[in-house]
Amino acid sequence: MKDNILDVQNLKVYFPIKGDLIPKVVGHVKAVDDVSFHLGYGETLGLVGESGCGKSTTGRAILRLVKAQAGSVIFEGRDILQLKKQELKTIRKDMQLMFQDPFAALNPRMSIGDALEEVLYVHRIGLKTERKKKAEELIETVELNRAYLARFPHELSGGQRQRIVLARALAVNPKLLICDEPVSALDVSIQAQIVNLLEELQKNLNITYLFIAHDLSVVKHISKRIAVMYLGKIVETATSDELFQNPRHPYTKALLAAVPSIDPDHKKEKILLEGDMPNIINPPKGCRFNSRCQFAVERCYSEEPIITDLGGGHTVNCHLFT
Amino acid sequence: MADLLNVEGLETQFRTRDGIVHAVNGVSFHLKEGETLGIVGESGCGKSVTVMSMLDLIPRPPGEVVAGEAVYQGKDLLKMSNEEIRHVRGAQISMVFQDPMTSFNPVLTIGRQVAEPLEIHNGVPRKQAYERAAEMLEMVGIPSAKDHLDDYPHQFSGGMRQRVMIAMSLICTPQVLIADEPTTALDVTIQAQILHLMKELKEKMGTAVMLITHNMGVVAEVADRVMVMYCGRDVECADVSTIFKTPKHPYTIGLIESIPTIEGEKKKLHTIKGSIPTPGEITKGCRFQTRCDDVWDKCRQEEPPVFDVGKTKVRCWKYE
Repeated sequence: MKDNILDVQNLKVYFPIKGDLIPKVVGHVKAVDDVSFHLGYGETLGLVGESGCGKSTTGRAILRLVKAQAGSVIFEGRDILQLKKQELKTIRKDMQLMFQDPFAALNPRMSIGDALEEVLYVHRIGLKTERKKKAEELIETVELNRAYLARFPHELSGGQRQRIVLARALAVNPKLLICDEPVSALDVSIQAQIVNLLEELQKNLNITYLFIAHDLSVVKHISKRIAVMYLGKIVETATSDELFQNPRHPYTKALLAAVPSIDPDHKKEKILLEGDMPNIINPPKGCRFNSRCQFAVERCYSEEPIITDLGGGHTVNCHLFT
Repeated sequence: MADLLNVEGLETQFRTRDGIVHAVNGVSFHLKEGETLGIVGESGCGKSVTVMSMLDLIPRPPGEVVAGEAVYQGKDLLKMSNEEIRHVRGAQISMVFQDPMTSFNPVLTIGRQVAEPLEIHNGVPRKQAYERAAEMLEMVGIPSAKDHLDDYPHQFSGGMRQRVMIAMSLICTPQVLIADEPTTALDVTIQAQILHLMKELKEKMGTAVMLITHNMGVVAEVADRVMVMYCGRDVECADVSTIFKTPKHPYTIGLIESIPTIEGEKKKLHTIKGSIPTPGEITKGCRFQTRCDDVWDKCRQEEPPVFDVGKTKVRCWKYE
């Protein structure tokens, strides 16, 4: 497809498990198992799921920060997973990552100005004076005062630091920004500021976002389409409105019902899931959700479901729909 | 119903290298029998320090409760001796903490830890205490609890550990349960399980609950009344539907509007400008003045007292 900036096909990321005594590979953690999705230019795809479901690993595999076992990641017509080191470096200019923890993502001994200029230096952009000027522009893009350039990370609040992390990602004019839980460490009032800023920037700079988060309400707000992950698999993909109005997969339904509503009169029918997420080292056979699913039939324990297209871009990975 | 707990003008401060920080600055509230009071606010607003002050859990130094009273069943918790408060803590007022990973002793078994309050406070012999512990664990939804008494905390998942913690805090059938961000570290589906469990147990045992959280959704779901805190002050207090339908204080209004919802149409998120002031930044006037859209001279000069507006208690000059 030509109008997609990113096309992820059958991506698999397996981490080897080594034996306790002998460093021999005894098995694999299938952190991301056969994940496919695509992203159009200027679009926002939300990737949601609970901790350990592989959403961050997916984001990292796209940037080749972790090694993928199989599959392809086509970014503007080129397969990222096949690129040579030098080519990768140039292409990474177009795809950047924004981390969750703004406290850990900045070097405490580097002033904000230096941190911003460093990105440009690494990518060999501009001369020293130009880089300085660019840093000043960047900090204004994220709506902070120029005076902050001389400060150090510890002098900034969490929200301000997250703005700096964003400015640094924007320094190389990326086309794709992978936001890995960008607002989960922030207070609600600050969270809204960052979400608005991200939306503003998308409008002005036409950046594509892959928005990874566990907070469904934030994801709904910012994304056009949403993919729900469970234990390394995408279980359902749909447009944001469709997913929230008409969730099909039992897991998605439970997930949506679990989100507390701020309207005290609006008492939803709660679908309480039994138990915990199973251990990913040894996922259930058949459908991975079978241990917590109230609709599980015999087939769910023996056979892995395949992706079913329900039309209108709504796909679901469940036996109930085949 | 009678007030179980009445806190009046509580003030707690910490001595730091940069001077005295007023973490809690004159907070008053009451808790009725069997009700759930939600305390909400952003990080650093003093919600945890408030309840820790009540139970004498503030490290001294650097912390110190300098004023106020917290009357529980006719007695002031703040004036109790160490010995007296020890009989209240865990037996009559118990606490569930945020992080189920670090709140257990990793080298003691679950059974030992859940049974311990009963042995200490009620002098129940160990064997019976263990039996009771197994019952409690069963009640919080741990299957075949008897077999798990000899397990260690690391063998449980986060959600299960939080269940064990709840069992431990309720084993002496306390009058008040203080839950400090009990579901913050958990995934949403597990959070829903735990909130459901807490509601169920509350009804069964008639315990009054103080739920501290930064998540407005959680409060809306389980609380009967809500107190909103900002910078060590109780800025607004009302019953849950009043506070979410007709919030009065500009901070509460901003807080509610800045939450994206999964119901309804998408619109641009409302934001509260700026960030939480650092301690010592505001020396006089209303604490919210730097971020308020509706600020006038009086707000900068004088701190607002509590005004009664309908069913709401609010600290804002707008309602004078």
